[in-house]
Amino acid sequence: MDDFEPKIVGFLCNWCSYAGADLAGTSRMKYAPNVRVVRVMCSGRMDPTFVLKAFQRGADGVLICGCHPGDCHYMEGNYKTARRISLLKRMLAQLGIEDERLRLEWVSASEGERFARIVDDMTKQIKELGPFAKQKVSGGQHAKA
Amino acid sequence: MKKVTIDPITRLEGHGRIEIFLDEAGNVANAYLQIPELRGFEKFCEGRPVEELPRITPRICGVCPEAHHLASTKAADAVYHVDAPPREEAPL
Amino acid sequence: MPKLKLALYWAASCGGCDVAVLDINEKILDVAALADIVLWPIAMDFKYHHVEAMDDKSIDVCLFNGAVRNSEQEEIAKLLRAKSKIMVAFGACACFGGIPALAYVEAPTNDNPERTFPQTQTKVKEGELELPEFFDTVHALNQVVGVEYYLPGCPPPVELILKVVDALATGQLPPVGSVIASDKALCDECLRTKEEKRITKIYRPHQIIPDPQRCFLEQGLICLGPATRGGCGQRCIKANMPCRGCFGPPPGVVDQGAKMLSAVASIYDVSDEEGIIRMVEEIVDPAGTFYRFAMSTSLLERKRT
Repeated sequence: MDDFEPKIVGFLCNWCSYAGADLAGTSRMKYAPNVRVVRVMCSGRMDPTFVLKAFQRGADGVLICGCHPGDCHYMEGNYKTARRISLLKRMLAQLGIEDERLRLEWVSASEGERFARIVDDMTKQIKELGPFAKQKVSGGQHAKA
Repeated sequence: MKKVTIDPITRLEGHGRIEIFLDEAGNVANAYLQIPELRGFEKFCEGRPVEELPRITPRICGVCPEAHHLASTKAADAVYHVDAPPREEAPL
Repeated sequence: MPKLKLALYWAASCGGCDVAVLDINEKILDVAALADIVLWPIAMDFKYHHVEAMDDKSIDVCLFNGAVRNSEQEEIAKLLRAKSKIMVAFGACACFGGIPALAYVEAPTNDNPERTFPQTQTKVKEGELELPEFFDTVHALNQVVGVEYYLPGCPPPVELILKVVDALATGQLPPVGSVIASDKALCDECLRTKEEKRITKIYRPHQIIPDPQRCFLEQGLICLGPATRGGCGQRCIKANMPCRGCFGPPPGVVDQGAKMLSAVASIYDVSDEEGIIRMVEEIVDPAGTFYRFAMSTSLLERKRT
């Protein structure tokens, strides 16, 4: 699958991670173009439903970035995110979804370089894993691949 | 060979179809019972917590769910090496 | 008023929904007065060819229970849809996939190295036998045909079945697409005391004897009440057992499992790495617990192959 370009949806929190990604941009850093960014006010806004919806709609990977523990603009939002995403990864593993496809990282507003490296790393990993879409299913006329 | 099909079989729990093959004289040469369903309880119960099985196995059969419930409860008792408390002590 | 024509059919089901219809006891006589039953494999000897011979839309109501996971079940669902004015997805399996959809969760030993599968054609000495094609997909009924009404539950409680009978008798049908249950989550009708939801440990149901007055979640027992539609009369709660979600998601929620996962992670009050690892270990089977009855209609719909 040499020409496979992963589609990664990135949910970035407004106060830290989005600013960090912005810094990567204004500093003219070169990094993989595979992440489509959605800005949320806090990583704690991340309903696990959003992750599943992203996969349902064609994402090959989901990246969630929030403030470092202790730095959340809303105090506890990122702790909730950490708990929800850890449990979600465990549940997705039971459904055959590889651990690398859902990634949670803490990125501060000054960590532009780090954000760029995370995106490069995740893009490389998902390229190796291949597309999310299931291969062969049997389900009559109504099966969704 | 002439084939007589009974589809579905009725007035019992479960899905079934019967194919009867008749020879030239019109006598039954052979009959086959087919079960056109498979849900896979034997497999998908694996990996479930053992104390949840008394809530899953009754769905094997809606006519005899009590039997499956008791069997899985007794199995869970055996796994945990416990006996059911005497009736007077039961929390409910 | 001419008698209604009523069909009841089962796909990947256990028969419990059919038994639930009989649980209405003497009111079955009211049903018999109201309708002629034209198909009901558990109780009557009508065959598929009888249904095929009927005119389209000649069956007034079809109560269809069971998930769809082979080609025969799909075929009969389509046949009944063509012959029926109203299709009711009866029971958790037809509404959401039900227990058979647990087939999606990876079992520790899903190996099938010799690829043994049920075959559609088998040659025998006398001729050939056919079996339906076995799907590796478990469909809810509305993923195969259009459905007018949904009656959730495993099985649906007698009170709600009687509501359906009543609606048919009076001709006062709810809006198409309605779920014949409550419009609120189970927590709304649960009579237990609810104080503050903040826990630091999750127990498996056999590890503690639950206090019969207090909310299960507050005692550290996973209860799917917050992510489950009400209307069942909180029958499991009254038996001191936490809810496992057989009424499917409440209104406005598409994915019951994801919502419940979010709820449990939200109330578990730890912020350190160790605590989070502990939490994940205490929840031994997230997919099988949060998606116990509603995997087929989840956003992922199926596991990856």
